[in-house]
Amino acid sequence: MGIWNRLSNKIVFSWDPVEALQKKDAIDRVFWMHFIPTDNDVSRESFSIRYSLYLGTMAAVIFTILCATGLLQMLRYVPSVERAYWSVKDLQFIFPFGWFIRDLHRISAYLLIVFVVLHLCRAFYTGAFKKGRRKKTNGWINWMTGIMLLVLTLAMAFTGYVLPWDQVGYWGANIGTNIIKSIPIIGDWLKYFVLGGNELGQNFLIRIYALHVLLLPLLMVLFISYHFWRNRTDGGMACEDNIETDQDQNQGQGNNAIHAFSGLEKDETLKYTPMFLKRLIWVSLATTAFAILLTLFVSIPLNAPANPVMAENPAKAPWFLLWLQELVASTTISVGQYRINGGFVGGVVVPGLLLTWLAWVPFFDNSPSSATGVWFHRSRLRQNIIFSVILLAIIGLIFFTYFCRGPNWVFYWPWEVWPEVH
Amino acid sequence: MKTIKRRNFLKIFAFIGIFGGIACQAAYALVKSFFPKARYEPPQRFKVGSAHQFTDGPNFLAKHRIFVIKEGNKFHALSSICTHLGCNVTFNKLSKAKKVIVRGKEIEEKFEFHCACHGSKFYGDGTPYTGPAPTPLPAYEVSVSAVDRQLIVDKSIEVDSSQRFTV
Repeated sequence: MGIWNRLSNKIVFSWDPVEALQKKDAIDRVFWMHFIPTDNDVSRESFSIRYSLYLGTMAAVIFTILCATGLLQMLRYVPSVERAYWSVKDLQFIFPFGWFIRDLHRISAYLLIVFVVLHLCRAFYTGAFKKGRRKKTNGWINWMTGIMLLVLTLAMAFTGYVLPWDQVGYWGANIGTNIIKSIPIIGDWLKYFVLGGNELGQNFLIRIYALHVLLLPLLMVLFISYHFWRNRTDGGMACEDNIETDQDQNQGQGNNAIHAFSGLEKDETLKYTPMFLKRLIWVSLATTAFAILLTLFVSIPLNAPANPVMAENPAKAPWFLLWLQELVASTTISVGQYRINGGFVGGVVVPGLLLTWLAWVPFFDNSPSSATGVWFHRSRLRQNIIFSVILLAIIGLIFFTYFCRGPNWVFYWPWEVWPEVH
Repeated sequence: MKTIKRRNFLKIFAFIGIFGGIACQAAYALVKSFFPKARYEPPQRFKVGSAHQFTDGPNFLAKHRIFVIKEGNKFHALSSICTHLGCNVTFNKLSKAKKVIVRGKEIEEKFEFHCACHGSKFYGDGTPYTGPAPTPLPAYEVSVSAVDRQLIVDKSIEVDSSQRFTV
């Protein structure tokens, strides 16, 4: 037993139980074990890297980094229209290592979006939202929670980039609130409600600040906790060898059938729990190291202070919203003599439909329960293709908008030089 | 048919009435608290200066985000806020005047308005002709102060874009 094993055993276990009852007790005694599915419910496959890729763990770790760096930034940031930009500038240049805190926060925010989306892809391609053959499992609840977390992540990212009150943040907020305004009938009222006035100002900034540092993170913590707990209650990941075979093989074998797992001995399961914890610690450390390394090598520039008179030309949103920007810029449609603002179509209807579709997928899934927890199961081919096409379209739009849109939103090839504008 | 005693009905009615009323009050107060009673924003009706201070063509007033457009002794005011998603349009002087047909009428225009954010373009009278902007730039009422002969623009009153104020 190496030094690492001894150290990790100190953290996670006070003793190494043999009896099943003691194992359960051991889990109850160690707080961290509550995040992990209980004894005898979970198979080795559930912990395997090649099944889950540990993307959810990575996202959770990144969220912890965001909380820590966010707290440090709260000590320097002033949520006032006049001083917000300059306090961020002070953070970047005056406070020692302030740049590190800010850059780490920004990089982590980007990474959170990436990991959350990848985690979503993993859950979709493996059909993890399906009920499977287990009786107690409700995969769709965790799928819904995950969609809520995706929405919360994007909301956090949006509110976060408004806070520095620089050109990108100011005009992003301007466009965002005008998307609200473009909703028919209630749009004007809703925008007034969000802004606390007719123009972007102090009322709006302080609301966004409160949302970003308190309300949204609180909701996020609640949903993440539920996400974990739900996974534990469901008996770990919805993966291949973790599905009760009560109907197929063990029918009519009495009591045994309920606890039988395909291909695994009952007592084999807990042995993997310390191994799983060690893996969790490794993944956490690696993710943190990755974020810090990126921070050291990628610098995040601070834009010019907000200028309510003139937007930058081209005024581009941060990369994760670029696909929406391209949509709102090109979906203004005419119905008869009426013209429907692209802000409503591309900014409200299309994202709303996409989210609705994602939320409805578990209920329209007709594939057999054996497709639960299997990567790219053949019976789910059609859904997988639709999902991939939508995903690729969004990624394609992001790249297209990033590289091919120049001043005045005119198309340019990436190698073309943009003309000088004002 | 299930019957309900008068006493129980009144109990339920009172319960919903009292606690529902309290809840509604609270909700109303909560929503209402997000609407300030005074706004520290520039006024909607303001003086923009004497007529002779303006040059021919569009004059951009950054503070109010409007263009005051002078054509000889005729004035009109256009909003500089793009009707798509609220960016600021800039005016581009055309090197030579071109004739365009707007709503059946042929007009000669010397300048256009372009929006940097999503590429909307407007004719000189505010009518969008390309890009995502759904409606024309609104034109505001121009008048003159009886006290110091300064021009007054009222952003709360929208007028037809062909209307001119003659000094």
